[in-house]
Amino acid sequence: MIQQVFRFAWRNIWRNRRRTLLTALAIMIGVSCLIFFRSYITGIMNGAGEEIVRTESGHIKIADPRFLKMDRMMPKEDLLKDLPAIRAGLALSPEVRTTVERIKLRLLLSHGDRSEPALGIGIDPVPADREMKLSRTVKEGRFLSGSGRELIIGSLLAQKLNIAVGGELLLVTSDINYSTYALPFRVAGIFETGFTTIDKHMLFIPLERAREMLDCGDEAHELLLFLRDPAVAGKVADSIRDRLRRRLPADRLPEVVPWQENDFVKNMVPFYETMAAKLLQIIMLTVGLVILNTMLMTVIERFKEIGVLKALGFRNLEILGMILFEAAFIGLLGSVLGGLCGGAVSAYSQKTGINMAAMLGKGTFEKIDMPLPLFSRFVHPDLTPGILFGSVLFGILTALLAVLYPAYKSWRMKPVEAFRSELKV
Amino acid sequence: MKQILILIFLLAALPAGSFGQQRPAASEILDRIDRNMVYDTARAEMEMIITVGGREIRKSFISFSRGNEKSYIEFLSPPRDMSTKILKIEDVVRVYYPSAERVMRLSGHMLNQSMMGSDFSFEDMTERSRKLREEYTAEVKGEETAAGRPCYVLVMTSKIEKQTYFTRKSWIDRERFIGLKEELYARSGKLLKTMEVEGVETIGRRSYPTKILLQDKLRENSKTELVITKIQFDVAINDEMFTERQLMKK
Repeated sequence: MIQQVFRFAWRNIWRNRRRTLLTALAIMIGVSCLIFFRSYITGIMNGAGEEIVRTESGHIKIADPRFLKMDRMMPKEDLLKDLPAIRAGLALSPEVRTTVERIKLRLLLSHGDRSEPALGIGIDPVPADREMKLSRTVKEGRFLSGSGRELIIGSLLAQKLNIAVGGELLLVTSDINYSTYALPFRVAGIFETGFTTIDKHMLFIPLERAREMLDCGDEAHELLLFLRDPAVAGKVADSIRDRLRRRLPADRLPEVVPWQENDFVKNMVPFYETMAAKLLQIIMLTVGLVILNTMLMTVIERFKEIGVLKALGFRNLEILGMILFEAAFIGLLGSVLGGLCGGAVSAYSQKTGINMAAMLGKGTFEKIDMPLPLFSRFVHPDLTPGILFGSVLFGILTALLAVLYPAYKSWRMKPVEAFRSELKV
Repeated sequence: MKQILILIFLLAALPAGSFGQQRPAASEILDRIDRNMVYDTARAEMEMIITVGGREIRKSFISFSRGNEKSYIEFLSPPRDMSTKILKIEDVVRVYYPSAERVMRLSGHMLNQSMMGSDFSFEDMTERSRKLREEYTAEVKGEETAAGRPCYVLVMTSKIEKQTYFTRKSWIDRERFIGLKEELYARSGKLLKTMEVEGVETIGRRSYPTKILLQDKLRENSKTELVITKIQFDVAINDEMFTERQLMKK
């Protein structure tokens, strides 16, 4: 008997091919959109988190407590105290893969008739690039090669100053004694990270030249530690704190901050994750409603036909089985096709990246000028198996859910009522 | 009795202001301020004491000015700042940095940047002979005491759209007609800087502030005291002083 119901349902599916395919198409589009948007939002969040760790927090950041507290103001005189003792303490941590020492400077830049304020970061090119991957972002010229008077500059900043690779830029800063010091630098390369905040306001110079400008000897503002296993950052930070406590007096101890405790990661990421979750809920609701509506109409328009079946002796259970089988099949067909289509589009754009700046029009993205690198001009969606299979399952279950109500109605309906029924729910 | 009544009537008929000093109009106050502050030429030796985060940094320099249009400043100390020179001609400031042996050109909003790490901006330091009467409309809001002296409280609103300090609230010494205290506001109403005059000297026919305390309210824990150790007005200054050649001269 069950076999007969399935055979009947199968015939029904293909009897009105256009209806079946249109319904499956609606589900396919819904599931595709869901996969793409979920990958896209995950991509934005992961991209921002990785960028913060890569360029700002490292897996562990060591800095003077005052420097961390007043980070935005960048108090130049709050350098790390007892840097040699800290370096010696870190040498005993096998978990640390790379240590990057940094100096941060507030700068005034001058090129010809143009001048702009900027943030300069002094780095040791080799270890910094190993972790921060800055050389990959250089789109013109080359990365820093030593300790000479050369720099790499953000593409939007270079554009504002109208300077190209090979051009000379004058950097002016106020040193730790509040004396003004200037040096000319040659532009070795122009980088583009995709984050407006970085590309519009930052440049990188060799650590030695930054120290010269700040007149701060062999000191540094920050140490960024990159670990072999980022997940153990908290534990490693604890052991570094212990070791430093044994070497330094309490009033000279630096702050040791694992990336999980970084202000942005701790406060802003959960906020944006909540926003993203709300957005996803709206997208899922929209997709769900589209599938519900399509499936509902597909069953309701067949009430008369269901009445005929009842009159011919079909039992309620058999009719219910038939409706559910049809819905499951169409849901599966649409969802799998949606999974293939949405998965392919997401995977492709994950590889190539989506140039949001080009999509939004010239100049729009440059106006997003946040203090943190959150929104990149290039978004790389992040397609995970969870997103792919979860969305396909969502499509199938929603299709099944959609027919429960009309199936219940048809269960209770007498054949004569079904003959008279219009498209009413 | 009749005579007493006539006397009371006559007294009542007198204008109230006749008993005290008549308050001058705002425009007249601005004129009197300009007479003190505006000069044809000036040569001054000054010291800046920058107090930031509990530290005190001293910088000395000499300045030459011709009206509000031309100004030249050369730093004498500390060693890292020595020979840094600033030249302002009309709306453009050029700064010569000896460490780089280069000149930086600043204009527009860049003139609001801190000058040599102080609370003074390039604009503050190079436009000290500004004619308030031409740039602001004023209103006398009352009389108060500032720095222990009776003052008119004057609120000035800029006639120029892109003025850095769009509104100025000034406490003007009633006798000497110089601002003893001032609050400088942006167009948005945000307080940008406060100024207090801690010393005034009479130089020739004018009263001139020689010790000024300025606080940039956008900087944390910072203030700058400007002490004029020597100033001469209306002295002859060679035109060569206000040229780029002078900036590069060693």
